[in-house]
Amino acid sequence: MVGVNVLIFCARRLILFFSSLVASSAIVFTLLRLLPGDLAQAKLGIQATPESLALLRHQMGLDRSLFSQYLDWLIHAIHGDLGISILSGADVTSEIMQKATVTIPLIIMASILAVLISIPLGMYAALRYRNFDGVATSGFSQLGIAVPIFWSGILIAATFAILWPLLPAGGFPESGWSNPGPALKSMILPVFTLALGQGAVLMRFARSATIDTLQQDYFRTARATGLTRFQALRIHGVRNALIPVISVLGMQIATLVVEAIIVENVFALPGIGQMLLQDVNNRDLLKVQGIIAVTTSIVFLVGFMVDIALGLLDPRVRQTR
Amino acid sequence: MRKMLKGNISLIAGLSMISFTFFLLILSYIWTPFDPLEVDPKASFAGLSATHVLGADNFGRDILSQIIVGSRVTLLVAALSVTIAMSLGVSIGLTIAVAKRTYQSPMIYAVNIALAFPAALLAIILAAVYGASTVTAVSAIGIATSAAVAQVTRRTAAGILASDFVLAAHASGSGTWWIVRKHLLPNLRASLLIQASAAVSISVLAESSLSYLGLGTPPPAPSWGRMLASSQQYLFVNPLLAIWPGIVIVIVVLGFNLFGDGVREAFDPTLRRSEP
Repeated sequence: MVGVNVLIFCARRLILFFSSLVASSAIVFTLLRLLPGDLAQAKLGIQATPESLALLRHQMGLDRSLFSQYLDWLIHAIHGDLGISILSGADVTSEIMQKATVTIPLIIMASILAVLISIPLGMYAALRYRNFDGVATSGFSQLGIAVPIFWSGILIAATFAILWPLLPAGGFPESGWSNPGPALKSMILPVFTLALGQGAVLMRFARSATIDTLQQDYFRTARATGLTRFQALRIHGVRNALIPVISVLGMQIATLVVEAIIVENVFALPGIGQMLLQDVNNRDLLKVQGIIAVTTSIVFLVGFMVDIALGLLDPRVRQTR
Repeated sequence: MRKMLKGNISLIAGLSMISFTFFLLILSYIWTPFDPLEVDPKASFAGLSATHVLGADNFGRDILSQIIVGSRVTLLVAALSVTIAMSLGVSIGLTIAVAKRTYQSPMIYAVNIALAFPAALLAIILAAVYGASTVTAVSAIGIATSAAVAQVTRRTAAGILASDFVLAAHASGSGTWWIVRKHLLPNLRASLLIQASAAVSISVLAESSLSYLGLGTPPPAPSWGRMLASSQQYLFVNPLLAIWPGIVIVIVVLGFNLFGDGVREAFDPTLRRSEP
């Protein structure tokens, strides 16, 4: 039976999730309005007459207070309308949705691959922590953390697309996922790059969780019943390593989104990240705001889901604030 | 000091890599093989040779000289942003730790929201408003990293404040300020040193990523991230151009990470036994 405690826990996290969304979008909204000059000026240029500026400001609602502008934007955003780009006239929501079909699969596939890499390697490094190969495995993860993601991307592209031309570095098809073969093929190297960087981070946590498990009484008991170290670890170690890895992955999601933005630029993937940088260079603030709102929503949503999952997995988590 | 270094491989390796970085920085003011901005069409894509030790880029600019001078931007941004991150983060973290319970939750909540904006994302937002520059990069990296510093400082401080000797100090009538000065700060020292070195690594990675994306210090000042960005166009012609700047970035980041691990090891004897 689901206890009242669990329901209270979930409700509290839900309120926290929605209020975080509102607060963070308000911060981004304010930051982007600090621009010297304003959007109307940006659209009409320096030669605009004061009358036409005033008219456009009124049409865009720029003559109202910051708070009422934000409220207006928020209400539209809740209805899924992030506005129309002033510079390109494009519908922001539909452009983000279209680009998200590249970015979201990239992040999901990379996260799964990162967990699949990090758990076995971390457990191996823990089991063999007195031996050369165990130390070498941890050393490798130290190195993986220190390598900037764009450099590993460039090196991976140079190796697997130029030195041994096995896979394409880029070339996501114009027609998107309706052309699944080439689309998937062009995602392999970016997913691999992203997963390698994250896997190196997660591996450290899997390793220390496993070292913890190795010293527990229940592990010794399991060994005493005649299980080998490996068998005992398969039963007790994987779950115990999974808890910190999942929670760290939840905390890392903000970093993962940023790294996805960078990796998209290395491999010329037409995703949200590439669009964001173009819009930053064009100073298309409404679109930048929409994209940041969507990415931070993803970050908070994943954090919320990880919190709930951990709360259900581990009763101790429910008690902490 | 010698006792601390003995057998502490992380600390020794970390300190050597950090020394190498500062050697590059000092060298950049004394001597470089060439003027890093000197264009020489004849040397375009020169390979490794006695004149151009690490070769030359598409404009024939000497790679080694660019790498030496590139340390300036990286270390300047790191120094400034870590100063911001540490002073802001530690004051916020300590304030939360010693605040009354009712005030703690909203402040923790604010820090958690700030954590959703990593350095590079904040830098992108600032670049959209003000245009990319060293100032936007430094402020973004400093402010974003301060959230993480605040979180760790608060947790560590809360642990210390919950200990028995603090309770004893309270019981003997010591005030909050006295406890912070006499008990909290001395016990936080190692943790702060570890956080500062982690913050350097984070800001070097963030700075190089921003330069790579064209959102860092604008040209012509040589920067490792931008060197890598331009090398990408010439991977077919001269793949070696994509190697050198990456190696120095890794040396700096790895150096500060290992230094942090070494400090942790030196200050926490239990760690030495369980994790050799």
